[in-house]
Amino acid sequence: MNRLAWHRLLAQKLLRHAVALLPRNQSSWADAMRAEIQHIDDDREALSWALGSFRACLTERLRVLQPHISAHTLGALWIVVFVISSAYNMSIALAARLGYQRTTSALGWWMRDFQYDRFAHFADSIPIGLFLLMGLAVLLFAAALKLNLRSRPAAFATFCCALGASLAAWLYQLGIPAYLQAMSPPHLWRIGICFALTVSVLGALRFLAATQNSSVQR
Amino acid sequence: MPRPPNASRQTHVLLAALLEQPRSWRHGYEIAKQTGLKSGTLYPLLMRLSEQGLLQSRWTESDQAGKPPRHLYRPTAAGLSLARELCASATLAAVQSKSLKAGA
Repeated sequence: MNRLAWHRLLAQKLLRHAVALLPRNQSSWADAMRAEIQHIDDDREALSWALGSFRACLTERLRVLQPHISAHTLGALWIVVFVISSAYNMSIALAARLGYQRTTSALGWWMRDFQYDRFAHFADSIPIGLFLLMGLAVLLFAAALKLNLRSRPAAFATFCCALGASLAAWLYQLGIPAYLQAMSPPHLWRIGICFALTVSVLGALRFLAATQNSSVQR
Repeated sequence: MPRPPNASRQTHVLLAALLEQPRSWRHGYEIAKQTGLKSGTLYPLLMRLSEQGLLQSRWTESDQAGKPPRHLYRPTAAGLSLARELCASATLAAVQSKSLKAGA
């Protein structure tokens, strides 16, 4: 595959994902963007056009979300944090388990007092079932994010399932003696506070959404 | 104080470009070329103007075989009126700025 074709391919893929961001009632604009790129002969310019269109779709999605900032935007942001943190946790543990010392150290460079040897000892004791549980949590968080962006009611339930899987993974880890040895007590406290905060934020969002719905019905 | 709608420089540039050929239908890429606006700026503007009834759009078959239909745009009467108004005020502002500089 030559370089120019690579640009074109990336542009088309990017635009396909970009248009998925737009609300359904603006699908004609999505079609317009996708059609327009077919008429741009220069591959680099097509990629630039696709990047701009991606930004346009994202801007539009955020604008639509603005009136629901209390529920949707905060929820989406919160889920993004969980997707990233869950994926990160899984990556670093998996890298240590597979013996990729450089990758593990690179992923843990920002953590103070991060020691590969201690962490590898912990990662080795993680059973495969726990990795599957962590993977499930990442997938559920990602699904919750997608549903949230599409304003589907199932987003909240999916997020709760993801949170449950994540909590189960954490409790599972607590049963591993090496985990308790590898993690310092303040770190455990931080995770606990994070879960408590999440439950509070979600509860508050749910309460606000219920209040808004009841006032609309009245 | 909230900013009035259609007050951005990019909107002025777009409306001024549309005013040049008010009757002709033009596609997004052509407008982007003419105005120098990137697609990330152009499409949100086109969406806003369309929502406000200042721009009309339609689909047309492509001249080139195998290419999909294109979305074309043209200002409405209200859009033209606003564009003329904005261009007139921009010209006035430019004249005032020039005379102020000359006076100083």
